Amino acid sequence: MRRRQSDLGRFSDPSLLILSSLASGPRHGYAMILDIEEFSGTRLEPGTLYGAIGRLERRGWIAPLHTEERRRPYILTAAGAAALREQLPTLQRIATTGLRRLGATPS
Amino acid sequence: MWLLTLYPRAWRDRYESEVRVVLEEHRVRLATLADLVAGAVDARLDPAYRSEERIMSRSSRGPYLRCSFCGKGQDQVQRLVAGPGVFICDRCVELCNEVLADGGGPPPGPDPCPTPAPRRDRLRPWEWLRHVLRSTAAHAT
Repeated sequence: MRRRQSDLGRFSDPSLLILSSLASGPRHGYAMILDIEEFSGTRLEPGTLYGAIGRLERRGWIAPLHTEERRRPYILTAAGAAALREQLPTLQRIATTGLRRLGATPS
Repeated sequence: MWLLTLYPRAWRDRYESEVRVVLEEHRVRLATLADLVAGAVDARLDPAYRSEERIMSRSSRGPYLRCSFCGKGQDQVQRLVAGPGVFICDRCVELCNEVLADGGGPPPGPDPCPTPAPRRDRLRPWEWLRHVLRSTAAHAT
């Protein structure tokens, strides 16, 4: 399997969810879990969440902000926004194609 | 949340306090615990968190002492009492005292001989994981 620079392995889906969540502004971990469950229906557990946060932070796609009341918010960086902008259209094409083909198939 | 102790030191220094806050608000289920164990395995395999463990290698701190009765290591027990070439931990001393007080028979209740904890440095990663999952299942019920 060819490894692309943006390949985050089994953390690619949680990473896209986290980047999308932060696209509307900084959030701390629990706020991300709630937001992601609301807009995608996916329930992320803290272990997976912080596995992806660690990778995203090392890539420079998100950055930690100052801890407030023991909670640490993260912000989407410019590089992270660019990566998200690059990957989401592909997901959209997949969704559109799948839905269109399902609609075209006689039931 | 004791499962966080499974994570490497470097990870804990960076993330433990904020993950604890998340766990306080999150609805913790068995899936949450299993996910934390998987996260710990992933972090242990991640080279980014590995250098700290190598710096703190066992040889630089002297031999690793164990209880000669139950096999538990020096950081798994409260006290280790030394004899000639042997050691006994505080828990085994308690159990021995119970046996002696009863007049020699095994005390009632759970098995008086504690199952030795597997030596983490002798296990292959999947064996250690299996031991951890068994302990996790026992705690989660």
